[in-house]
Amino acid sequence: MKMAQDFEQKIKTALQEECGSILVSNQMKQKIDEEIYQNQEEKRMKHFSMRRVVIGVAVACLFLTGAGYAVGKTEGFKSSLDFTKYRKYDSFEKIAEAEEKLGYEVDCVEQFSNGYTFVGAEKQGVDAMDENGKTTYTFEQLVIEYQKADEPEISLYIEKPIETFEDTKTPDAVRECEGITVEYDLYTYKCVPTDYELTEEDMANENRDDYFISVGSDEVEISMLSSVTWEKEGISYNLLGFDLTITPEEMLAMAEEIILAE
Amino acid sequence: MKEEILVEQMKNGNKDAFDALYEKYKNIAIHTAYLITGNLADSEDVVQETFVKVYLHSTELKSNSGFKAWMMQILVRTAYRMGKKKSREFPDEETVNRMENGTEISSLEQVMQLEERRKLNAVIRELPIKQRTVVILFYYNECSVGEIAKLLGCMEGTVKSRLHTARKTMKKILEEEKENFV
Repeated sequence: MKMAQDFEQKIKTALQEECGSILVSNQMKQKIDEEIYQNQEEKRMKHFSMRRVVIGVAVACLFLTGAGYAVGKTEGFKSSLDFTKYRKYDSFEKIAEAEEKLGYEVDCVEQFSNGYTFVGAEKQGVDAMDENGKTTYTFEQLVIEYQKADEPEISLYIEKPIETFEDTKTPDAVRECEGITVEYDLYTYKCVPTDYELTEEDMANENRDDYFISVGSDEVEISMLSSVTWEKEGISYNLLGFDLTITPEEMLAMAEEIILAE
Repeated sequence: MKEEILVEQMKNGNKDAFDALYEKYKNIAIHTAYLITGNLADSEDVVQETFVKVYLHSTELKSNSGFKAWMMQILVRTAYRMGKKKSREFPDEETVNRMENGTEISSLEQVMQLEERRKLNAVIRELPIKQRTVVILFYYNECSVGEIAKLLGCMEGTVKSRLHTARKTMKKILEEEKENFV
C-alpha cells in the first residue's frame, strides 16, 4: 500500500516538475484579445452585410422584390456576372432565345418613349443565401440593359420568384396599370471596402428600410438607387438604375410601357 | 470577486471579468496543455484557442459554477486534438536544461530521485495520448475519475481502464530501469 502511494506521489511530483517552471508568455493575452476582437468584427460585418445587402459585382447589386425581408430563411443574394463584359443576347430579337431557356415569356420593350434603348441582355444564376452565407437555392434571372446617351444605365431584372418577401418599406410612389400595382422606391446604397468599420451613423442607418450597405468596393461610395417593381402572371419585374436623372413619374411610365408591351 | 459572478459578467460581455478569469486559470491551462501536447509552442496555441472559445461561447455555459470544468473541457479537447495531429517533440532541450539547472543536487539519493522523475516523465510522454491525457488529468489536475470521464466524454470505466494500463506501463518500465541501474 505504502509502495503504491509512493508511486502515485512520484507521478504527481514528476508532472509538477515537468511543467512547473513554464509561464504564460506576456504576449498571450494580447493575442487572445486580438483574436476575440477580430472574430467579433467578422461576425458583425458578416451580419450586416448578409442582412441587408448584396455581395455582388457591377450593377447587379440587388434584386429583392419589394426590397423587403425574406419571409423564409433567405438573407441575401449573390450573383457574379459582370454585365459590362457579358451580353449574350446582344440584339432585341435574341430575347426570344432567352425566353426559351428560361421557360417562360417576358414583357419588355426595345425602346422607351423617353429615349432609353435596349443594348443587351444576359441570363444569370443567382444564389439565395441564408444568414451564414450558405447557398440555400439557386434561380435564374434575365437582366436587360437600357441606355440613353450619357445618362446612367437602367436595368430590367426579370425572374420567377421562388419565395415570398414581406414588404417592410412603404413605397415612395405607386401607380396602377392594367390592374397591376407598380411601386417606386428610392434607396441609398453605401458601398464600403472589406476592412471598413461601421460608424454610429451607419449602425443607425442599418435599421432603415431604404438604406443598404454593401461590402466590396475600394473606397466608400454612396449611390442612390431608383427602383420600380411589379409582378405580372407570376413573374417579377424590377426596373432599376443608380443615380438616375429621371423622375419617379418617368420611371413609373417606363414600367407602364413594359406592362403594355405586346 | 466570486467566480460565478465573474462568469455571469463575462457572459454579458464584460471584458474585465474575462480578464480576471484568464488571470486565475492561465497557469493551470498552460501547464495542462504543455503536458498533453508535449511542446511549448503548441501549448500556447491551445491556451490561446481555449480562452478565445471561452469568451466567444460563454453564453453556452449553462451553470456558472461549472466554469472551470467547462473551460478545462475545451482546453483538453483542443490539446488532445493538437497532440494527436502533431508529432511530439520530446525530449525537449528546454525541459532538460530547466531540470538540470533548476535542481540542487546534494546527494546520491537525490540524483537517483531526479533520474527517476526524469525517466517517469519520459515514460508519460511516450504513453498513447488517450492514456497520457488521463494520467495528466488525474495526477496533475487532481480530477476524479468521474470528472475526467465528463471532460473527455467517455465512460468512467474507460478512464479507469486507461489509468490502470498507464500505471502498469509506467511501473514496468521503471522497474526495468532500476534493475539495469543495479
